[in-house]
Amino acid sequence: MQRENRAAGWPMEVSKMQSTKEGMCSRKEEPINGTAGQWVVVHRGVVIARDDNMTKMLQLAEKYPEEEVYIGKVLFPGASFY
Amino acid sequence: MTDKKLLPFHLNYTEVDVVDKVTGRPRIIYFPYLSCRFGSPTKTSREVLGLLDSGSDGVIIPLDLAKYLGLPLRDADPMKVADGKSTPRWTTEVSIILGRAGRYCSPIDNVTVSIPRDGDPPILLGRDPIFQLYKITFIEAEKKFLMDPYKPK
Repeated sequence: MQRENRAAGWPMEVSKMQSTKEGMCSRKEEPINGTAGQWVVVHRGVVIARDDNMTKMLQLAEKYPEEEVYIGKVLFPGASFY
Repeated sequence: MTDKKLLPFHLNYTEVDVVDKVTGRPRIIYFPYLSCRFGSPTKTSREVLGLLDSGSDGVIIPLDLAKYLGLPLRDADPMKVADGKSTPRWTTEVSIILGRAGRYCSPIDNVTVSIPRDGDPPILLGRDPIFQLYKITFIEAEKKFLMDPYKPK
């Protein structure tokens, strides 16, 4: 179970993989946090960087293994788009 | 696109603890974010969170992501937005790989996406192609969403 092994290496509080009856997983991680509009890099469930410039965050994320990192955006309250 | 491997996703909304820029007040809000990777012929991004948006006709990405991937930008007719105004944009084609932490679908290739010329939008995953490929249920009261690959009857 590659997925369980990977999750086991994460801090318990940020990687509680919850199996469902269909055998799929849901994830429970630390919240994304920051100032509205910022892009963030999340490594192993923890925000490690924030910036208004997405390019910087994309480049920073390249330094981490692809299965451990992702990029998100801190949306503002009441956001609606297009 | 029907022969692609599409995985089901049953996920919690992502909690976002945000500080309001104007008031400085902290807020907790939840969004139906789905992880995906975007690819061009020369480069693939790390995972980025896309907002599932049934109100969007298609996929929208920010200009920074398009430039990062080295995508060519084409002039396109402005987007009509909800309030009836028009927003200038470019379009381009990308590959989208849905999934998270090693659990990935097959790439969805040649997806035409819009890139607004103004602003810095989040990534929006709209109806074409995401809602065409999946049955998607939002359980807002539980802050969950369910995505099951659509199977024609």
